[in-house]
Amino acid sequence: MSLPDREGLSRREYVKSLVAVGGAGALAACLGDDETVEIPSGTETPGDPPTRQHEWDPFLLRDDDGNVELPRHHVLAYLDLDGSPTADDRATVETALRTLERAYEWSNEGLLFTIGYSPAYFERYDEPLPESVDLPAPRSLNSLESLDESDLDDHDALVHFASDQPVALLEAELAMFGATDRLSGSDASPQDTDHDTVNGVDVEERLSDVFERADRRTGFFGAGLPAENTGATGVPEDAPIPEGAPMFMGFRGRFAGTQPSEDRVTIQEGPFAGGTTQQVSKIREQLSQWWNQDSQSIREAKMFSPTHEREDRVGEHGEKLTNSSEVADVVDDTESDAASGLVGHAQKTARAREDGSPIILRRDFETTDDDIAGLHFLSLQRRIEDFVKTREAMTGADLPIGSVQNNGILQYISVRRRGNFLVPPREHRSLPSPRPE
Amino acid sequence: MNRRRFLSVGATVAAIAGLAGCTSDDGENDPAESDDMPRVENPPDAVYLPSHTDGMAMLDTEIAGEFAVSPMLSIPHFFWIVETGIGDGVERVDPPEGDSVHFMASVWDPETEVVLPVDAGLSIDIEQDGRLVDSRAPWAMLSQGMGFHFGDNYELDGNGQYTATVSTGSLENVRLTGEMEGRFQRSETVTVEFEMTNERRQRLVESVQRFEEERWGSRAAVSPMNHGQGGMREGDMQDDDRGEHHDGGHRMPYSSLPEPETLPGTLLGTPTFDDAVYATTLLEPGSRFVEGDEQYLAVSPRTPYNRCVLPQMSLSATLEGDGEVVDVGGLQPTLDHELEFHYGVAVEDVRVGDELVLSIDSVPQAARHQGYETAFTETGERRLAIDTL
Repeated sequence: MSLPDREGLSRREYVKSLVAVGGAGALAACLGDDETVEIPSGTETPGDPPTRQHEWDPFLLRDDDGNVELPRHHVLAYLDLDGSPTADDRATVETALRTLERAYEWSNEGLLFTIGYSPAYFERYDEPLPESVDLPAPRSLNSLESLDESDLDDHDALVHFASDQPVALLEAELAMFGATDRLSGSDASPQDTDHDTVNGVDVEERLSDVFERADRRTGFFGAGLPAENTGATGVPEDAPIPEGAPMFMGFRGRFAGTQPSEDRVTIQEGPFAGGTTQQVSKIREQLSQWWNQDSQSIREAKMFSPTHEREDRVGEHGEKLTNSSEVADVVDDTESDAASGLVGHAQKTARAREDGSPIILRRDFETTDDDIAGLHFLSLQRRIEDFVKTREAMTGADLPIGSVQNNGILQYISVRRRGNFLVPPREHRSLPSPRPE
Repeated sequence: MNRRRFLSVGATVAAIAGLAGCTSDDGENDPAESDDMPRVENPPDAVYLPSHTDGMAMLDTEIAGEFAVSPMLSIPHFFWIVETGIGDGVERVDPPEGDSVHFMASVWDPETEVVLPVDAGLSIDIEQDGRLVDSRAPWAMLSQGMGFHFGDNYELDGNGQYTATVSTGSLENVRLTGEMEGRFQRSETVTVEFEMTNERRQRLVESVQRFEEERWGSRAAVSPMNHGQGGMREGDMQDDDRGEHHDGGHRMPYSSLPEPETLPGTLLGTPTFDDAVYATTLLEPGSRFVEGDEQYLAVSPRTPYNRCVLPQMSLSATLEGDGEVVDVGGLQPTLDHELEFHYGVAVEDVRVGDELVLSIDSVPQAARHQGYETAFTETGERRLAIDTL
């Protein structure tokens, strides 16, 4: 991949494109483009960062309505491990990850990350995972998903990096995987980048000392970026995406009132208590019809519910919905709305709530990898079964309406890949066995 | 995209000027003005004969698993999407500004030669040189000439070779009865190559058949197309082939439903509402459609001239008799080898003298081609007296 041309791009679009390319050249370009970037340092204090790898909410920004905002830039590094892990391997991985924690503040301004392990990873052991962990192999979940073997991510581990600072992200990646891996980086040779220190901290061990990086996917989140990326296949050039929309489909989502607490998605018992499961689907977005054929009214109704449209609850990009998607009172209308010819995505999906709360925590973000508009739908849940249940509610196969037409947003998305991972609590994050002590 | 732009991807001005039907209504020959496809002003609130019918190019029919898929091309054109689910009527969709083609697919059963009029999430990807150009789930559509099919104006990138990958979706969430039961449970994928050339574009434009203006809006319909041939209902069938036609020996069927008299069961009547015909039959107790020994009420909605199936509706019914009103409930969309596509429900104790009240709760949600966008857009009810059993 070659570095993007700086000319004509806004800074935020330029750096987002640099993250997509990755590598030393991209980092150099990123550093070159900005004035001095001060990235807050991490900590040596034991007890910082949190015992739960996925505890990000207290360290993220919130918008004016109190909704948590995901960091702007994301990288997913899929890793493979050769053979069985040794004690040395574990120590290496732990040292590498601690380096990142010492180098960067655990926040959107510094670096947030998780490392998770797949069912394929755990298969190398004789003993199974404990009952307290529900981690089945990924699979197609409904008639709309035709995922075959090659579409299922069975790499051993997944590291999710996130930061508002592209420099932090690119630097951390270089530190963890070195400059020699084939997956990222431009043809340009690195200039003045030293990946043996990261934000001033020496790098003694890298993840690539133990793992091989098998796949690299990137993405972004935040108002303005979707509107600037309408060149990607799947989003019409002239799509009227509102400037305030953080997603390609134009609406805000994951409001404070409609995301579960991190506690709700944390494993409560057994050796992996404090951890969570992570489901990551790669979804292709097909938005020509959405933007060029459907009206704003239809978009509001399909994303939320016909009632939302009728009562004007949404606004141009969801700004009227402050901190909740306000679906509680339309969930029971799901079947009758479907029978009347149109049913909304949010109202269908809310059927999976328990005690009024969703059971999956969304941390998804948009992508233009391969120049195709898409979504890395990453969710955290106590059990993968919680995701399955939520996906079922979203699919609405039981509803008196067709598979995709006027059925929420199903006409506009296509699931292309899926992987399931266990994100252990911090103490067991480095090459755990199924029954860590 | 209007015809000039569709052609101007490399065509000559002379070719454009030689277009059929290029003159506008008042005889002026201004290509820019008269070039957008003609529309009928003030059509009746019913099925009507449109201003023109598009010709098409048929690509190879492919069999994959239990499905037959017939892909087709025609020039990009407008259609209406149905927004009655939010209380809006139908909304016209115009072709995009850039290069595009109206790509269609008919999905049918090669065993019974019946079209499968079901939204199963069919999707089509179009690629050029391995690069994705457009990918979407095309609209379920109703067209007088084409019947039920899937289609949309797909964006293209000029002349050249393209590959279309059609994924059928599966009918696992559809009620299938009789010999249809258990079939079509697996989504299948079909790949076809097609080339866009100046010649093909020219042929597609020239195959547009414009009707005499005094017939526009009349209460009639374009006849079902046969292998790409168009024709008017009462006019002569033209024999010239309007496009290439490679069907590999499989003749793509039209999505018509059987004549009411030939449907299984006792025909209770053929009431009409908003120009749709609701052929209603009652099957004897203990038929294969019910669990126990109930009777089975089957409603088979179709268009008035072509008997084209009207799927994606919501129907319910009540039975009134002896001063009592029995709520029969919702009728389930079902695909059967004899009744074909219909809406059905088990009923008990239906007697002569009863009145069936059929409620059209939601109209066919399939997008509409010209001539079908003013009909079957209203909900309401129709009463049917049960005179004979």
